Amino acid sequence: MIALFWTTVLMFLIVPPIAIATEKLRNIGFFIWIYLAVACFGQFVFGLVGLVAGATIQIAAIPGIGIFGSWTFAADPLSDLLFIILGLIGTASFIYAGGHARLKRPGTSYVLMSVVAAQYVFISFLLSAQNGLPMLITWEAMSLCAYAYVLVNHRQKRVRHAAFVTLVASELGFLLLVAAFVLAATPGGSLEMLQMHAALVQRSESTRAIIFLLALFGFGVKSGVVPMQLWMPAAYDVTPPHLNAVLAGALLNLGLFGILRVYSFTFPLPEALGIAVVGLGAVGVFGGALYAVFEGRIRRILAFSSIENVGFMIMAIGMVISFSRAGSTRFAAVAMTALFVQMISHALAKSLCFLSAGEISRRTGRVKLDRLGGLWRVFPASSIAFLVGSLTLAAVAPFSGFVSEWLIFQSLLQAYQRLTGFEQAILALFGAVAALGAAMAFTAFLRLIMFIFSGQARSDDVTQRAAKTRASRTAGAGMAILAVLSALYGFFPTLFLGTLSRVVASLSPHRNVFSSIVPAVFQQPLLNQPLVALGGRLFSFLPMPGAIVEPGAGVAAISPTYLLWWFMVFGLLAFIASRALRRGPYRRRYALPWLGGRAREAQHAQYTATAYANPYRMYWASLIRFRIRRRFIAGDVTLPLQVEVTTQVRPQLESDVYQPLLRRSRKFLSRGLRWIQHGYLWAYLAFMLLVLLLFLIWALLMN
Amino acid sequence: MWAQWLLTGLASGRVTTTYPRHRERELPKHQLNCIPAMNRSCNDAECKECSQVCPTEAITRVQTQAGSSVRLDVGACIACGRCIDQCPESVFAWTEAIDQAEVRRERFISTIEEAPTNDG
Amino acid sequence: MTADHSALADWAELDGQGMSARLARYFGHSLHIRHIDVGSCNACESEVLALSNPYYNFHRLGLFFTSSPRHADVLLVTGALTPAMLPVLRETYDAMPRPRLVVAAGVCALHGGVFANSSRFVGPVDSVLPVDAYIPGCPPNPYALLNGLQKAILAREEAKSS
Repeated sequence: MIALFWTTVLMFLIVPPIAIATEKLRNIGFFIWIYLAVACFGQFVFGLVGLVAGATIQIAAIPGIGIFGSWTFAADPLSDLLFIILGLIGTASFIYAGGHARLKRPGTSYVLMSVVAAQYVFISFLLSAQNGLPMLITWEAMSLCAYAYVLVNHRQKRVRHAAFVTLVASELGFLLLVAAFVLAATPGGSLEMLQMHAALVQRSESTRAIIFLLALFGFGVKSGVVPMQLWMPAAYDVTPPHLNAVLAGALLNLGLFGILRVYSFTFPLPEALGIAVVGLGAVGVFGGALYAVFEGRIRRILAFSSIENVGFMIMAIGMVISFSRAGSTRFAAVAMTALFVQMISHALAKSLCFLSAGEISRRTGRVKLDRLGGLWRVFPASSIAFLVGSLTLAAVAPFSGFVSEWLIFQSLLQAYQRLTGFEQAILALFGAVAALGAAMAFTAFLRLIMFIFSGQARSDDVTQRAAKTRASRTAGAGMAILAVLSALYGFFPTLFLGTLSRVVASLSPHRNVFSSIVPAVFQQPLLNQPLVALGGRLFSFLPMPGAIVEPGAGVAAISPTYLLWWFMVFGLLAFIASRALRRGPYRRRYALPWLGGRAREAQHAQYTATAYANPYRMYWASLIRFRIRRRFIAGDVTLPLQVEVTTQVRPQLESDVYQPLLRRSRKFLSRGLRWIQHGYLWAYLAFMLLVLLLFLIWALLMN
Repeated sequence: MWAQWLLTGLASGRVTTTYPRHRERELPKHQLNCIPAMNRSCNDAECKECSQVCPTEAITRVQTQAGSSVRLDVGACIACGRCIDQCPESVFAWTEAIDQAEVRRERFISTIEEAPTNDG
Repeated sequence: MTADHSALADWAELDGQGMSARLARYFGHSLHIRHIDVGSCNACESEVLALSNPYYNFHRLGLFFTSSPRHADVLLVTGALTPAMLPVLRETYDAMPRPRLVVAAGVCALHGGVFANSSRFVGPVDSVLPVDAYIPGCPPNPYALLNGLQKAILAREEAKSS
C-alpha cells in the first residue's frame, strides 16, 4: 500500500516536466489529463483499501527537523476518507477535463496540468501529515494552487479581482492558522500532533478553545465557514468547470479535515463552544440558502449552496463537541457519522453540478438564469446529471443530501435528551434557523432547475448555439461517473455507512455506532418483526445488514431505499395509467398558452428567475441589501430612450461589515502613509537620525 | 321625461327588472326605437325609396314570382330610422319586440309580398 | 305607450311554451361569458357592460363575466372583424375548453353594418367561427343580449338531446 502511495505521488511529480516538454504536440492534453485521472484513481484505491483494512499506515518519518519534532506521515482512517473523496472527484473531473482539452477550452493548458499535479502532491502530504509544520506548508502550497485555478482567465478584470479576494482570504486564514499552531506548540515545544495533544490536555480548556477557534476560522476559509466565506461566490463564478469541481468538491473538504485534525489534539472542548459552533453553522446554512435564492448566475448559486452545506457540517462538528463534553458519546458518534455522510454527498453532488454547469455554459454561451430556459430537450444527458446533483443538494429524498441533512437534524433533536434547559432552547433555535435555511435551499434549487431546463429559451440564440456545438462524450463520461455514484450513495446509504463508522471510531468519540444506526433487518429478521412483515427484507440480496437508518432507537427512521422502490412502483403505475387512458376526454391535445392572444411572444412572457425570487426579496429585504441600478444608455432622466436595469443583491456581511472595515482601514493607512511620505528630504534625514539615536540608547541600556 | 321603469321602481321598491320571466310586462317600459319591422306590404312596385335610403343595404327590393317584394334583414339594420321616415306608405315601424335574437342567421330576413291588386 | 302588445304576443308564440321554467333550470347553473371586441365603436360594449348593473343584473340568472377564455363557456363577440384581430379571435376561441358557445352581438359582428364594404373588414363572425346565436341591434339592448344567450343555451340543449 505504501508503494501505491509513492507511485501516485511520482506519477504526479513527473507531469510538469512532461507537460512542458510536450506542450506543442496535438491532443497531448487529452492524454495527460486522462493520465492525471488515473493517478487520482490510484489515490482513491489507496484510500479505499486503507479504510477497509482499518489500520493506520506509516508512510514516512523524517526525524528531527529543527525544534519542531520529527515529520511523520501516516494515513489514518480520516486521511483515507479524504483520499477517497479527493481521488474520486479528481478522477471524474480530469476525465471531463480531457474532453474539454480536446476542445481547447480555457484551463486545460500545460500550465494547469502542472499546477493540478503539484497540488495533488501537496494534498497527499497534507492528508498524511502528523506534524503541524508540514501541514502548514502543504496547506499554503495547496491554497496557492487554488489561487492559480481562479486566475485562469486572467485577462478579465472580474477574474483578477475574484482571484485577489481569494488570495487575501487564504492568507488571512493562514495567519490565523499560524497563530493557532504557535499557540498549540508553546506548551510542549513540539508540533507533532500526538505530543501536542498530550501537552494540551494538561492545559486549561480556554487555551484549547482559542486554538480550536483560530483553526476553525483558519481552515474554514477553504470550506466557507462564516465569516470567511465571501470569496467563494466570486471565485466559483470565474473558474473553469473541471477546476471548479476540484475546488468546490474536493478542496472544500480539506478545510473540514483540518478542523477535525485540530479537534483531535485539542479535545475535550467546552460545551458552550460546541453550541456556539452549532450557531455559526446555522447562520451559514441560513445565509447561504438565502443568498442562493436571489442569485442570477448558475455558479454563484452553487457557491452559496456550498456555504449552506458546509454550515450543516459545522453544525455537526459543534454537536460532536457538545455531546462529547456532556458525556453522550453515542450521539456524538452519530453526529460525526452525519458529518461524513454530508461530506461525501456534498462532494459528489457539487462536483457533478459544476461539471454539468460547465457543459451548459460551454454549449449555450450563457450563465445567467434570466437568459436560459427549455434546455432539457437539447441536453438530456446534462439535464439528468444536473438534476441528480441539484436534488441531492436540495435534500430531496431519496437522494444522499436528504440522508445527510436528516441525520444532522436528528442529532440536533437529541439535544433534549442530553443537555440542560438553556442549551436545549438555544439548540432548538439554531435548529429552526437551519431548517428554514434547508427549505430555502430547496427553493433555490427548484428555481435553478426550473429556469434552466423547463419552459422555453428566454434568449433567441440559446438553442441555435446549443445545436451547433457538439456534446463531448468524455466530459459526459466524467459526469456519468459522479451521477451514478451520487445516486447510488443516496439510494443505498447503508451500503457505505459501515465504512464511515470506522472513521468515526478512530476519532474522538471513539465509538462505532454502525450496528445501532442500521438495524440488521436482513441478517436477523426475527429481531425486527413488524419491519419484516411490512416488506423490510426487500433488497436483502445486497451486501448490507439492513436498508433502514435509525439514529436513535425508537426515535425516527428513514429508508431511502424503500422510498426509491415505492417511487419506482408508483411511477410505473402512473406511466401505465397515462398510456392506457388516452381516450375520450383524456386524449392528448396540444394548445397554445393563453397570453391574451399573443402566443407568438410566449418566450418573452415567461416568468424570469428574478421575478420568481421577488416574494423572498420583499420578505427578507433588510438582510439582502437589494438595489436596482438604472443606467441610461441613451437619453436621460427627463426623456429616457434606452435604459439598462440590473438588480443587485449583496450579503449583509459584505456590505455592512467588510466594506466599511475596508474603507476605514484604507483611509487610515493612506493617511498614515501620506503623513510619512511627505517628500521633504530634511524630514527623512531627521527620521533616520531619530531611529539611529533610539538604537544607540537601546544598546547603551542593554549594556 | 320620466322613464316608466323609474316610476315603477320607485313605486314598487324594486330596481331590478324581472326579464325574462315577465317579458310582456318589462319590455313595454322601454320605448326604444331600435328594431324595425314591416307591418304591411308595399303597394308600389316602382318605389325604391327604402332600399336607396338604407345605409347598410338591409332593405332590398327583390323580384319574386308574385312580383316585387321588400326584404328586410334585421341583422344588418343600424336603426337609423330613415326607412321609417322616407317610406310613403308607412311600411316600416319600430317594433316593441326589442329583444330579438335568433339561432339561425336567416331568420332575421323577412320578406313582405306586394299586396295583390284589387283585381284579385 | 300603447296598450297593444300584439307584437310581443307574436314573439311569445314563436318562442314556444314553458320558456320560464326552462330558463330557471338552465340558469340554475352558472354560465361564464368571455367578451371579445374585434373592432367595434364600443357602443355594444356599453350595452354588454350594462348587463352587470343593478337594473339588468344578469348575475341573478347565473351569468358572469370572466376575463380568461380558459374559464369561459361562451365567447361573446362584438364589433366588425378587422384583420389585426383575426388571429387574436382565433387564439381566444382555441383557448376555450369544450363545450363552448359563440354568440355574435351587434350588427357589425353579424353583417358589418356601415363597415360592410370596407377593405379592412374581414367578414361577419360566422365566416370565421361557428356561431350559436345572433343578436341584432346597433347596439343591441341588454334584453336582446339576454335573449340571445338563453337561445344559444336552449339550442345547444336541443342539439344534444336530439
